[in-house]
Amino acid sequence: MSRIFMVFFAGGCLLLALSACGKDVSSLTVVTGVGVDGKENAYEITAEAIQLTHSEEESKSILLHARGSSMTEGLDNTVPMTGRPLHCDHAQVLVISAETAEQGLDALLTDVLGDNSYPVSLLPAISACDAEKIMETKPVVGTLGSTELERLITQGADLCTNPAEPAASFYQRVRAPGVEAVLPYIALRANGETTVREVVGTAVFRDMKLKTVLDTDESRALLWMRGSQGGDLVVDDRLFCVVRARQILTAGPKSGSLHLKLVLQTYVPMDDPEEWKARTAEAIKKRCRAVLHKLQQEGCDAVGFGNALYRRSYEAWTALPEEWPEHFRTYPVSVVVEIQSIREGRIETERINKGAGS
Amino acid sequence: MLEYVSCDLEENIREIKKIFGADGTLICRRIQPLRFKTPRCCLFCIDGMASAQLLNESVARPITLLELQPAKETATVDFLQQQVLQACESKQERIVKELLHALLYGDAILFIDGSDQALILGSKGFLKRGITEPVSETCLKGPREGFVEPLLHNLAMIRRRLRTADLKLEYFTLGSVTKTDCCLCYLESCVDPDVLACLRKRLEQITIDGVIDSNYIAELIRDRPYSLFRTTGSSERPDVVAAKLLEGRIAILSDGSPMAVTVPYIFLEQFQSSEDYYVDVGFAGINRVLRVLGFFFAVSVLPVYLSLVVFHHAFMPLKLILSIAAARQDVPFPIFVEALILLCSFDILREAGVRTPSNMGQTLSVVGGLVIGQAAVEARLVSVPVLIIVAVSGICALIAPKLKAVTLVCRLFFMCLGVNFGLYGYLLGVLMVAALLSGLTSFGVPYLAGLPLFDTEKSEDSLIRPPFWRMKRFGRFLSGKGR
Repeated sequence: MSRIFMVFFAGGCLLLALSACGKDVSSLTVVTGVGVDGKENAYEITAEAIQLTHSEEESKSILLHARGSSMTEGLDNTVPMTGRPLHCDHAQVLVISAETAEQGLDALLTDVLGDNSYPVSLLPAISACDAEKIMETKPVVGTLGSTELERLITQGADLCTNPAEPAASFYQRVRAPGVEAVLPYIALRANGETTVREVVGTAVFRDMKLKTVLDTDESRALLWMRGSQGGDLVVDDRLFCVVRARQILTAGPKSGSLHLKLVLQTYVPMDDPEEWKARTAEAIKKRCRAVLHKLQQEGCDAVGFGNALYRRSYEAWTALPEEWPEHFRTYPVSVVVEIQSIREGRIETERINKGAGS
Repeated sequence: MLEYVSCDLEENIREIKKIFGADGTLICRRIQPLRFKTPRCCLFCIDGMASAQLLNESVARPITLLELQPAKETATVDFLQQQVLQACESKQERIVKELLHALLYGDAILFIDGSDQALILGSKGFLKRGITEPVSETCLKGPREGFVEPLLHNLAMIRRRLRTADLKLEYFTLGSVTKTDCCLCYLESCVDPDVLACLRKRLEQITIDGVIDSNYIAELIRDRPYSLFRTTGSSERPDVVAAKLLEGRIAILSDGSPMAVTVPYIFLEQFQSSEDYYVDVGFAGINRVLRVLGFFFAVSVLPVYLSLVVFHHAFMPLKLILSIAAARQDVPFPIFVEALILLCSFDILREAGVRTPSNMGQTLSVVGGLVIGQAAVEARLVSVPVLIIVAVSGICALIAPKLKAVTLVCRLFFMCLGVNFGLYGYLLGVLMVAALLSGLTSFGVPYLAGLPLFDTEKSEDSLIRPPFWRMKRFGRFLSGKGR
């Protein structure tokens, strides 16, 4: 009895003594965003971290610069600067320079996603200039540049002017056959005496390497073709707001061609709706065709035609004489745009008047 | 010492005086009729324990003014007991030990010259507390009577609520020195015979020199004396004890204690309150659920917070992390030590509040609030988030006062596990306590009985009190027929 008691007592004392050894969140460096420049095996990392003070409001962000053969190693190299371990679970954005993205993101994203230190919600973005400059730019709103950037990207995604995809789903998407990835594209813009960050479009990849960049109008058309909803367009001085969007990809007979039917739903104006809808559909179709032409020139199937072929006509997919991106350059694809009107609870006064008259 | 009463009055007087020695509270009064020389008597009582007025009027006066003499000298005791004395209770006794026991409990003993029997006269007249509302079990609605110290008063309070011959009251004595009168109460038709037999067996095995309070008995008959979770209940309210008897439980009352011990006792009883049955069913249900949640929060809030802050940072929003981290800047202690300091302070204040006279309570709360709250934060000894969490945990613990000890120990245990192993450690601790509870029994009844997990029919009055029309019969849960 006494021996068991002694064992329990010793265990309890040990547990109690060890309890004071845990390091809490105040002893960590909270990283909110990471910028990556350079090439594979020689990355230059710029980490935005929060310098904690007594007051939460007075907390400032600091930039830590380090080098490493991988992003994780580079971040680890910032530890000696602060003397505190890093906490990257709340990193919001990962800014990668266009130069780095052109070299390929495979190694970088494998490193990020293979390490549990980073959140799956980390938003990657491509910067037109060095990522370091993007990170160094002072935010217009708030004190945390990463938070501002994250808001810019998500707001742009809501307005359908740029994509916003967490690193995990981005990586998953590019692993699927017959579809290429897209990421938001950030640039710096002079605004008087200051410089501000801006999401200016979409970076389109081919085999994880940056190939081309679309502006915001092109991005909108691409995102509609990908089935994203939201965004607007001015047609004949009238605003066309997309409430819902649906992408229907079909393969032709023996899969010699692919068809994209884009169904966009909107609230239609009261007068001459059919005519307006036809004009709007034609305008959107024109834009979509222009974007598709650009993508086909680069061999970047960002819409996912190849994936539709893979899913719907696997035999045709396997019978392709060459790799899909090359084949996509010349593959016949057609786009049909259909505008559907939403008339929730609308009362047609003409019909009521007619009914009353009779 | 004499074993039996002697026929010689003087020898009896000498013997009693010799036993008590220099005890100044012993009163010895010789009584003799005015008109006759016999019977010569001597009355013994203890000053302060016996009622002097009662003895004067019902014993001394009738003997002094005696106008008749007994027909036979040998029948003097019977004559006095049946025709002269007006005492309500009287009993012949010849064993000196028994006489002394009665004398020390406020009765008077009357020795009669020439008789080898003495009379024990009921004359208890010691001062006792009036019936008041129990402090530990207050309620806004319902009866306000509480048990008092004299056993008979308590039994009367129970009998007044259960007017049935089915109610059995079995007396027994415990304590080789104190000779405390105790009573076993149960409803014969409701009680489980196995539980009753088990309880009797345990009571028989008790060897102790003194029983001052009913908790002495509770601790001696408990299934696992070292267990944190009590397997015997206690109540200061006669209405609660009566309700428990109706449910097939057994109550043990001891003289000198205002607490009744009830067995068997299950885990869910700790969340029940007498007021649940005196208010609307919906309100009672909400209150009971709140008590369960309160206990859960009391033992979990702090360990979960420590786990999150030390291990699972990703579970918290960035704003919260920054807020916590900013508050913790320059606090010299590790977060566990900080929480421990605050917890100890909180419990010291709580204990001091209970022991402090009520007029000092306000001062104590002001000092506690200022010192612990304001000054400690300003001096950077503790951080505000931990202070808030400890306060929430401490207040939640007050919701289930019967689980005070359990909350204290479990919280500390979970904190240690949480801060060392994160949420996995906390969950491991919860599982360990659940395993401990599932293996516990109270007089053969599983401690977790009544939980809706097992049998919904028998657990109708568990986490939520059902309306009375749905509770078909009291005692179904624990009675022999119901089990």
